[in-house]
Amino acid sequence: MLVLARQKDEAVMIGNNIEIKVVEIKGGKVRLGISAPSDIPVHRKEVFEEIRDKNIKAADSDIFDLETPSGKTGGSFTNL
Amino acid sequence: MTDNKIKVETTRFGEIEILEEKIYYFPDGLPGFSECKKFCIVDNQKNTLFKWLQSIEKPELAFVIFDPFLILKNYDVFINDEELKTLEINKKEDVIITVIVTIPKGKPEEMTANLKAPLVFNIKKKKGMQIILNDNDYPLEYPVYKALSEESEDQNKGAS
Repeated sequence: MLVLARQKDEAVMIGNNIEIKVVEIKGGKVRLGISAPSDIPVHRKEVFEEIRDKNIKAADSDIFDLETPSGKTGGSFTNL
Repeated sequence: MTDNKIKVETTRFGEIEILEEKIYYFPDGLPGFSECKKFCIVDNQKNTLFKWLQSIEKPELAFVIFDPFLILKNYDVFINDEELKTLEINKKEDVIITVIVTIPKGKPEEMTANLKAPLVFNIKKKKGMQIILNDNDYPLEYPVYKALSEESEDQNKGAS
């Protein structure tokens, strides 16, 4: 992993069009500004990991004998 | 030519025949399953509140999906420009939103829905994507069973 020292208002470029700038440093916390093309999704790593872990858990679900309390059917996704 | 069915091998349902129009392409896969890009929709026999999103490429992979608006009428899904482009969405009517449900084995009453990362489908272009809602504070684990119970109680009250 490349490790760079940056001060407030200094930035790092990744490729030609992704800029990561140190906006604020305060009390052990760094605020980063990220400019990237709209087709590059930017997420906090923990959010992405949370969703990944949730998906892995969800893939283990089973509902063969599932009874739900509501007698409702369908919803708008019948057209799927 | 009327025969547009294809055979899909699945762990849960055995070999199934599926209409080609029930197959969705997920360009990015799903977080945790980025290699799985083709899924089909399988109706759930016993309970039509739920459907299955079955992987075409991985027989053992299937998710339970659910219509979130049944339990949360004001559920607000913001699809950004890039996601609209990826999914080739240009008409609101072509969009269907579902969420993935997690059902712990033997404990259906503890089932939860992931409202933080809904699935967005373009039913015309047959494309799908799991998007992450950053702006709203929607939970990763919303208790579905409880919400459905409360709703059916309300309905019963209304009827009596």
